Amino acid sequence: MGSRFEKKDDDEYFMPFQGLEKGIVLQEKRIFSEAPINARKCSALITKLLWLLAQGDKFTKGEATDVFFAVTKLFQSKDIPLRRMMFLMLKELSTMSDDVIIVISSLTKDIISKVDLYRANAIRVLARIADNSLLPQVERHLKQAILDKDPHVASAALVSGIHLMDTSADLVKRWVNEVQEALNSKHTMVQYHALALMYQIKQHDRLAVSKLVMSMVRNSPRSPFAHTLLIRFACEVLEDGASGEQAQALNDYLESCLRNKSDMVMYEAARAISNRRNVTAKELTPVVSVLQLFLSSPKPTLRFAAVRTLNKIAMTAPLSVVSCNLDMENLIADSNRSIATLAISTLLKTGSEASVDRLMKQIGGFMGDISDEFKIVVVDAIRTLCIKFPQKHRTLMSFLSNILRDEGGFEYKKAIVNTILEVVNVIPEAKELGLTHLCEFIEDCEFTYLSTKILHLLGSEGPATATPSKYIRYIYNRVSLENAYVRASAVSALAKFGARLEQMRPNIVVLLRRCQHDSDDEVRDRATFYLKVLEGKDPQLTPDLILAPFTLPLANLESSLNEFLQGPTDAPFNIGAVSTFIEPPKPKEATPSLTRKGPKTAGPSGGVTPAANDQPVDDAAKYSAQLGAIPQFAKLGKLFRSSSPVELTESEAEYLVSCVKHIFPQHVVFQFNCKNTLNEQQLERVQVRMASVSGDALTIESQVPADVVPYGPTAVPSYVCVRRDSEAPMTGTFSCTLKFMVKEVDPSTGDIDDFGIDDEYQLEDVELATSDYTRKAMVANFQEEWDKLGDEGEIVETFNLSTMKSLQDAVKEIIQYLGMYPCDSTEQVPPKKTKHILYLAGRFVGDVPVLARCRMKSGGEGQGVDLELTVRSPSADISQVLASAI
Amino acid sequence: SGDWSGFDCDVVCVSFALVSIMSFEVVKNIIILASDGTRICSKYYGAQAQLTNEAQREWEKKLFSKTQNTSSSIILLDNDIVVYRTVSDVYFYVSGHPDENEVMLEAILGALCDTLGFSLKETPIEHRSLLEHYDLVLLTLDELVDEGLIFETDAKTIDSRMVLGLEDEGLAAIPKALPLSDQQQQELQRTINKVSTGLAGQLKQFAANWN
Repeated sequence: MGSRFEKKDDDEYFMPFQGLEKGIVLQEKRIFSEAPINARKCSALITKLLWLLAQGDKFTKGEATDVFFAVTKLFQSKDIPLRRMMFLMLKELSTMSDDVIIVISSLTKDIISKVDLYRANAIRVLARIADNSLLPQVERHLKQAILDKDPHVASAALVSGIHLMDTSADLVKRWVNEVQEALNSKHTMVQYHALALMYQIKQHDRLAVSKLVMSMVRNSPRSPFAHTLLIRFACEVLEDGASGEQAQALNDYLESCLRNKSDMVMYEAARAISNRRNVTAKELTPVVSVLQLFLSSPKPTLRFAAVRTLNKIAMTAPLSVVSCNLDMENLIADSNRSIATLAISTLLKTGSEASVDRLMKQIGGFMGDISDEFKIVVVDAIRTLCIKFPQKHRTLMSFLSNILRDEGGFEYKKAIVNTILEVVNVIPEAKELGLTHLCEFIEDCEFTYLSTKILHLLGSEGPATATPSKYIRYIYNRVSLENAYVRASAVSALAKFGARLEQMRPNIVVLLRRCQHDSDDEVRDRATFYLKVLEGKDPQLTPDLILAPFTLPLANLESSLNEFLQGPTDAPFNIGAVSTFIEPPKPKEATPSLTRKGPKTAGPSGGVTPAANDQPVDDAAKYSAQLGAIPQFAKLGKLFRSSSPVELTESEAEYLVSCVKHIFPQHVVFQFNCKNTLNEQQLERVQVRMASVSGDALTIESQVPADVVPYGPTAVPSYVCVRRDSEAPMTGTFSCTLKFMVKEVDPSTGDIDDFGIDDEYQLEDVELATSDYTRKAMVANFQEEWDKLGDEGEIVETFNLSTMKSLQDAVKEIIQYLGMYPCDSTEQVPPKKTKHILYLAGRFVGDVPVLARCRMKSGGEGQGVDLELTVRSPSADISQVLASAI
Repeated sequence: SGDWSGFDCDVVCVSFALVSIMSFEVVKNIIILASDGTRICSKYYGAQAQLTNEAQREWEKKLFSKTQNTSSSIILLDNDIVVYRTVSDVYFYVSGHPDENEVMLEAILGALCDTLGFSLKETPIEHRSLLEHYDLVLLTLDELVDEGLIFETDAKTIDSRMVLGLEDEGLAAIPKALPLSDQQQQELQRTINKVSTGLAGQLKQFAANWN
């Protein structure tokens, strides 16, 4: 900071606070305790302390507490400016000191003081300090302060209320009458704060919110800030499904805000309307007019706001924005590059094919001036444009290749490369040009990730082009110039040319031989392997090995390898035995985002937090561990599948029992979870007696009773283990009776009577179906797997499902009967179809892969559905079992 | 699409969680920097208050490098929308959620600069004057925004709530007696003489009429 002040006096060289040290400043804190209080010195010291804090100097807890205590001495001062600084200091220190509650009584005294300024600031400090145990003592004063005639005090109380909603919502909710009255305050900020707090108090009561909004809409709030809030609330009420007169009034209000005299309100209304779901072109017209007005405003913020919103509108309704195109073209030269970029991006979305060349020229002029973030926005817009106007790919591709050569960070370059990749993929005519551009790019590319990605593409696409040989040079250059990752990718790419094109094979072999001398293991290994294949000496090694994509799910390969390593490793690992079936992902449920404070703004929000409702993997692992710990079940083998719990009692019954069916290779274990809801009873020796009602007979191998089921919310399990005698799965309906001994309990003392009575309780029947023996699985390519399984174990059956109303119903039922997973989105029957094929994949007990093809024909109204079910698995018996499940 | 599967490098999908923002906490931070990018004062609210000093300074550095020597007044940076203004050798910034109403942020920025200008009276806003009246900077921020919530934006109202006009320094700034230059003294003397001569004449006139 020297030069500016060089000509001034020596003492002005030094800026205030220069060289200030925490240790020295902290020592000065005794000034606070001096009597009489020197207001000037104390204020100066507080300022110094706050300066240190603002600079990020850390106070230890001890230091902060010391200062806090020292500062509390200043409550005795009558000097108002000093007291103002004292409040600020206390507020800053309140979060880092211990025992801050000692100031509560002083603050309470200030809250009822006659000085407005004391009242307002004491409230603000208090709201920071008071916790749930102290708040009830002072709450009365805060509530009164809401209606204080001084707006400073009222605002302080309301804003404190908004903060306290996080921790003490119930208490703040009791202020509702005062807040309601404050809504009518003639002071604009008080009304604004009251509106915010009122909304928070009512936000979980939709009816109350809509009432609040309707009354505010009728009376129109006083400040622009309150309007912005009300606009957001109004949109929320509309989204919640307001209708009729109410919706009309709200829509009228929003539209009237477009004509408000405050820019802030006009803009808030414009973006709120444009963000509405199902907004019509007619509703957008006045919005676009407002934004168009802003486009030519001298204020950059307004231009930015307008073009940003128009850009968003253009994504869904480009036609509505076209009227602004001329204004936006003027903005390409805007000195604020953010505005220029957004204008370009919008124009690219709304522009016609004829304007592409002109636009690209304009953009080219300023790409160098903007930050990477905005360049990515432009690249993104170009990708959309390219796909929209494929004939323009030449112009756009050459633009992309130009910017690819310019300076830029990884994210930016990645965006360009991905765009070229996508364009090449979608527009076949663009392929050769695109590959050439990418070849040139890797000549001078500093990003390993991008180089390997491009080399992979060259390997898979290059051989199919008209002149494949021209790519070899580019690829081989990488082998001599790059790091090991890129070299390895280049070797793989070369090998693909050799494998695909016989006439080039000898040359490729020569190049690969050179790679065998590489300094890196991976590169050498790849080269050696590819050479072995391409030299063609071993008839087992066909070029397909290089070309065929690797389709095995890596998780399966990993678990197979792990299993292999645990057993004897004399025989070689058989990669063919690795299952291609994978566990389907559980559908993720979108939970509504939790609104902590207020409604969402009009922005494109709508947080979706993935929350799996049940986690099969965890459940399986949990059950497996639980059952494994029971000696009787330790030798049953690997748990194949556990059903979800089935309730066997009414939800209001005295004893609540649910059943989980565990399928083992040769056994079925029924787990009965029993809950006791009677507080004057304890159940002992609880077990379930099972008997066959229909279907297969039961061979009970062992039973594990629950010793004690006390009153309480936890369910205690008991088990029945049944042996399956035949290969075929045991199915049927089984009656269940809960048997136990009741002992009386005195609820008040918890004493348990020694004497017990045996008792029984009838439960609902348990069903065991074929679907209990299948596990859902997913396959990457159904047809391939279908062909691989072959027709040896195939069973075909035809059915007439007369009770089915529609194909969609039939699909649902079949999936449920078979317990398998639908592939290729075939669970969705396209509307108005009379025929449909459903593909299902799963695993049968013993980890046997099974596939099913269900050809369905709707017989018309009331005629049911004709089904031809074809099941394939390695064993015809298993296929038969499944086919009979329907 | 399927054609691109099996890359040497797995494509890492980054999903962006769109977090809904709470409209009452309008301001994420307010930053005042000097012309060399050093911090004069900064206040972070809500989640940003938990950031370390280093992280906050990192952000200020980035913000400064992106906005230095630009005439524009708004920027979208790292998923924050920032409005800013340069006054003399001082940079003022107000940041909010990217979905926040930027015109509203601009109003807060305007209120900040207006209040400082109003309260500093004759003194211009510059690096030195802000340090010399640092208490005023702190109190302005405190009265403007309360934990991210807009508290008051009217410059006069904020100024009255800072009560700094009563401070000793403020009183000391008004000299007890105005020293007059010679010319002024002569001027004053002449006026007094003129008034008293006039008065004397009028008195005489009055006395004559009385009699």
